[in-house]
Amino acid sequence: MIKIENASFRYPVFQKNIRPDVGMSEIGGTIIKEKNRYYVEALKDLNITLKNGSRVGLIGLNGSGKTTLLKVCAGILPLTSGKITVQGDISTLFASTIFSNPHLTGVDNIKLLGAICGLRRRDVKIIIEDVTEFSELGAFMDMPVRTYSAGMRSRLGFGFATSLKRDVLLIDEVIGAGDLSFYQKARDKVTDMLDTASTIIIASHSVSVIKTFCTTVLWMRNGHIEAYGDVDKITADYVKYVKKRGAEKRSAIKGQIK
Amino acid sequence: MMNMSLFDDLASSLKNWRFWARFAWQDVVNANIRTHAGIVLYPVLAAIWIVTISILFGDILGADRDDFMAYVGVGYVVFTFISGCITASYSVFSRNLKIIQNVPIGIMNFPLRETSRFLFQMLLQCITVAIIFVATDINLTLQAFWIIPAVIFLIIFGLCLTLLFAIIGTYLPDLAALTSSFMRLLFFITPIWWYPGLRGGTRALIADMNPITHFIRLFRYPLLEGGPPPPLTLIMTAGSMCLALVVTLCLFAATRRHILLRL
Repeated sequence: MIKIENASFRYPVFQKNIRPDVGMSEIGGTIIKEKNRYYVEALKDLNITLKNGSRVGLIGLNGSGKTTLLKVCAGILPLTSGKITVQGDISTLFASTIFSNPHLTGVDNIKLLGAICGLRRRDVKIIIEDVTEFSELGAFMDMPVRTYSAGMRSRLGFGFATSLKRDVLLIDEVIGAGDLSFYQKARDKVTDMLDTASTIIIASHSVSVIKTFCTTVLWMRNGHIEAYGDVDKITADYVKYVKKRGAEKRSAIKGQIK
Repeated sequence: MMNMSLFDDLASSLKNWRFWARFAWQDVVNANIRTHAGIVLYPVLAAIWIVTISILFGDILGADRDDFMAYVGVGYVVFTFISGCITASYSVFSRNLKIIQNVPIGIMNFPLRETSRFLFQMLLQCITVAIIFVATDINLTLQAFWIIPAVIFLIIFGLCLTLLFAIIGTYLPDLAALTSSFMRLLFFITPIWWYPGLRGGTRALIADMNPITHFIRLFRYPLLEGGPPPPLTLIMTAGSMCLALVVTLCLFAATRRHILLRL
């Protein structure tokens, strides 16, 4: 379970030469000035409770606060105010570039990731078998990761993150690189995980990814929750909003050209 | 992990030895990954340095070459560890940014990784010193067991320096350039390849006031003189270690939650 109460987060800005038009744009958080210092308010007064077994999709424009929300949930970023309670262990999959050494093989990178998570050697051995089976990388598991495509890295990363048997899984923009067969396997894996009461949050710009993996959607806009609820309704509203926004931008540009 | 308490961060990081020990060893190996010699280069480069300095300065100082080589070897290994902990620590957090931003683990894991890296390097360089000891017929006495507390003191001091300079490097990056110049100066005022007693006066006083001198003496006395370290050395090393520990922990407690936001 994840309980978020009045959660706000600000990124401090250390540069002084900021344009004075402080305020809000459609993209990114709100730029604010306080005591001669600038901040980007990435999350503002969020309140939500995600129960065990939730499969939540995070959608929103760039800079709407999706990644920041995942990182404060994971405890990577400290909240500026408010409180987040996470029950259970967390596993994160935030970037397929997390593999620390592209010159090492897939197996060696899994060993390093296991070391980051403090896993014992025998547990890492089991995870390697699990990831090899899930990722279908075969001989590539013994090849340097630099020879992998983005999709192959996704398979490796997703395979590792979902093999950890943690209570909460947070994923940011990683699944999108996979192919159709990966989608199918990943969806089965996520369904299996939910049998052990896992909470899964997936941030993605792909509506099809969200529809495939999630049952509810949280739409983020300028650091606050725009909407939360049924996957079909919210994604439809979001797509409508994005299309309307695109049309307005195009007509504004046409007006300027005339 | 930024929402942990200070104690949780320290405890969970110390417990997570699989991460920092493994990554530290990986760093040691990766540093020479494109060479054929690999990690063998550490003892080889140490040997080249120690032998060259011993030949060049041993005669000038009128020292016995065999004894002087062991003297330089011990000084070199201890100084290299401390100097590494200071000069390379500035970028510890920025070099680990990818992991800090993506994996919820204690921030103390990263100074532990860096200190372990220099400890592994030191152990590899110790192979050279061991060979010198055997080749020059230096007999160790039971007093050599003094190096056990000496190693513990050195590791704690090195870890404090690593964390201290990692925090300073995050908040005051301009100081990095000054530190490398300062370390060059420190190299000359630390008795690695000269005897403080030979010169006397101000130079000996500076050497006595330099804590690194005493950390080197902590190893030299039991290994080379066959006796325990002098009381002044014990006081200086224990004092430096305690001071570094208190200052570093206070600074870490005050800054740790915001380190990631500064990177």
